[in-house]
Amino acid sequence: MSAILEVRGISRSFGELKAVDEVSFSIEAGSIVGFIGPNGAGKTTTMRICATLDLPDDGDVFVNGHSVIEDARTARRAMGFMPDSYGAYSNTTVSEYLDFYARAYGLRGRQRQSTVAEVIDFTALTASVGKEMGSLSKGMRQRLCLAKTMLHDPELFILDEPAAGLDPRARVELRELLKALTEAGKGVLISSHILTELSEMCDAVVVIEDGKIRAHGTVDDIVQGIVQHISIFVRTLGEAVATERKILEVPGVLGTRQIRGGVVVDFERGDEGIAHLLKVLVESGMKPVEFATERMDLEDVFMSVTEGIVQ
Amino acid sequence: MSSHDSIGAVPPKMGFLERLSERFNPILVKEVRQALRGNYFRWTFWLTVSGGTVAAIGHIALAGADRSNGQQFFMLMFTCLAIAALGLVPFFAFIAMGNEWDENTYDLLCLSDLKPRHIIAGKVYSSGIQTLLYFSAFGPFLIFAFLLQGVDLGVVAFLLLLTLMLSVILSTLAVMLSTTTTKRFARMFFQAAIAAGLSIVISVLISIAGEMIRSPQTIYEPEFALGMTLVSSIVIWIAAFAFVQAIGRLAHPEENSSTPARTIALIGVPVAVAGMAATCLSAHGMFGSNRGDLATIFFMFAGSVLFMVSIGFAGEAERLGRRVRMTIPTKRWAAFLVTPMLPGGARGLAFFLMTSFLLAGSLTATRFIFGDRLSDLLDSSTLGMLVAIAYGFTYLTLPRPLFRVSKKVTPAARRMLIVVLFAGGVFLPAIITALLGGSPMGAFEHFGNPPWVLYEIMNSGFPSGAVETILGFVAIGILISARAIWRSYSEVMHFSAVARDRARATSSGVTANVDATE
Ligand SMILES: Nc1ncnc2c1ncn2[C@@H]1O[C@H](COP(=O)(O)OP(=O)(O)O)[C@@H](O)[C@H]1O
Ligand SMILES: [Mg+2]
Repeated sequence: MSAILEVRGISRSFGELKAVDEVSFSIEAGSIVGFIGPNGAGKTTTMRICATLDLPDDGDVFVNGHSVIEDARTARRAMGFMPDSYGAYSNTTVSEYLDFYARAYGLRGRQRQSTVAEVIDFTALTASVGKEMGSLSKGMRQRLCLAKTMLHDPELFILDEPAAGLDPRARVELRELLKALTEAGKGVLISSHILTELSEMCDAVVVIEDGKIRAHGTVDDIVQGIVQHISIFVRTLGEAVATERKILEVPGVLGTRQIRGGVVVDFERGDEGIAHLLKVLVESGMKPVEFATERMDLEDVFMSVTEGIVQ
Repeated sequence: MSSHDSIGAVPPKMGFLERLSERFNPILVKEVRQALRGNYFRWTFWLTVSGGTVAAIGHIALAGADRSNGQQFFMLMFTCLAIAALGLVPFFAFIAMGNEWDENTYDLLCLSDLKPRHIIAGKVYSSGIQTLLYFSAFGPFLIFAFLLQGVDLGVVAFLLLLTLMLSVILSTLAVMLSTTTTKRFARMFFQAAIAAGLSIVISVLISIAGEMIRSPQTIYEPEFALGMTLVSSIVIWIAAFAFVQAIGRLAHPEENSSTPARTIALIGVPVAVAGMAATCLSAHGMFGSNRGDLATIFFMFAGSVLFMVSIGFAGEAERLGRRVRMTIPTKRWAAFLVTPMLPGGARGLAFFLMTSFLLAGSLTATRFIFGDRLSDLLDSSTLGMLVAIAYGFTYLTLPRPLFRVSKKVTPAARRMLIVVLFAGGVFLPAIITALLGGSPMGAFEHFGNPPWVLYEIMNSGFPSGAVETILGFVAIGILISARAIWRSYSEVMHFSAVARDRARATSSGVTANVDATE
């Protein structure tokens, strides 16, 4: 399957500040990619370039194969962008708002009405159709904007910090909506500066800092790429001190530390070695009760990547 | 959800208004809905209309219904209508456009299928609809005024048409102004300026209306028709330019917003020539029989406008954007011809030279057509035009060395520099003369001040030293800009060649037999 979004070496400067610096990555159809980085990292700038709202000084972006520079109209058609901040139209109800954008996207007559009805249904806004936009909660507004973004049935969704300021329940609802979108084969690029917002929903992440990509890939890939060892938590029936001493004799062990009545072993990668470690423990009569790899989560990846610590 | 055939929701039947609204610009539909639901329009509408009604009833009760009362009553109602259509409506257009900035919804609009011209047109249409609503509210009163007698029907029709046209044009200008800045503070300033400007327009229109009502015969004179046509052409030209400017502001930064503006500016040339021709045809003594003076008047007016818009063009970034390059014609001669119409500062200079020579040439040709002999044409009028072009060119080029001082000299800053240098050229020598104790009368009689030089040329020939000085100015201008103009042309020719190569490659790739059009 070809990439629905391909960012090729884009750079963008504001005066002296290089807000985006040679950024490249791509998104496949049917996947959600998290775009994470601290505030001011260049996420919004990158996304606006992808959405044809800003121009790169250098490089190009292709949405479904169409250049955002040379073929912006077609690229726009294939893409739905949700900015990080946008206001409500005064004196406009939810259904009028969607009706207006459906018209703006060239939908006419019954087709427009049924499309509006569909997106209202999809985003569970049915109960609020008659409400004025100004009276909606933050979560409802986000859903309304997502509904608006869906009207022209784009292949790619670019969502800038959609989860910011949402309560946990609204966040779960958003996640469900995005999941439904990817199940329909859409690509999603979603940004955040808070890891936990993205950790459960993304197939892959792109980590950006100071305008540069620090890491790109699935969480596991990134872990493999940047971390040369694996950590294993071992607890035995015996003394932790004795266990630690024994473990340090095993080849491939890089270091140990005691924690929670057990030992965390930093070990060279490779299943053979791990199996050997367990075998040594059992054969030396240590009686292991816990033997588990410590999964490095997105938060750890983020911290180690953005601080430039590569072990 | 990927297909648009609805599964669950069955859409309700569409009412008549719904079906009618299909035909209209979506922005217009939205604006009308917002206006009808919102407070601003509802309140101002009902206040104006009920104020008008109260005034009407009061007037009739107190003054009775005779001939002069018909005139007074008409003026009363017309004042209400003018305030609404020329004050409230354009002001509201400015606010409505500003709300899009405030609400950060421009980006979303720009991403939709609506082109910038639809967005601007929608805003202007919705002002038109509001004006029509006011017209229909005041229509019965105005008819009543006519029934009271003392009011000329031709004058009424003329004034209403004028008000309608002005309302649309002022709304266009207001929309254009509100696209010039996203900053709240600047818009507060604009709001005050617009309010002041609209008040002036309204009071001028009301006093004109008063004159006309009292002496209706003036509007049936041919000079009046000619004058109105000239003024309308100017005003419509300004509105068209404002419209194109507003569209350019909304367009993608890489989009070419300069060529439409240059096109409208270029259209000013035939408009001016047509104006002169019409004046020649109709004037019996109005402008005298001297066609040289007539040509000068039209040239000075249209030429000043060309100079002003060229300040904008001359400040543009020099390089062609990535998207504009792809629109350059493949044919060499076509690329060469359109170069002055393409964006870029040096091409702005080329545009000024091309259009002003075109203007001077066609005005002179018009003199010939209307009876001046060839030997008449080489008079002070023609020389004056050439001198004016020389001054325009010099003042547009003089600040160019400053453009390259730093990257921070943005297009806006470049335009400021041109204006400042122009003002400096005119005023500084005068101020220095005044400080040195020279006569205040002669302070502005120097070669940096083109109006004075032109006045002298027209009335008593070239002042001594003028020819040398002006030729010197032109030489400096050429020295400064020749290379940039050359490069601006060769850039266009280069991308034309690139387009040619590409066309050849694709045509030979797709159908080998078809001759790659050269
Ligand atoms: N229009 C602009 N003008 C000047 N600087 C800008 C502009 N937009 C963004 N920046 C700067 O570029 C950097 C990246 O900004 P942004 O892309 O908004 O970061 P993020 O969305 O990751 O928080 C920031 O330092 C910001 O101040
Ligand atoms: Mg941001």
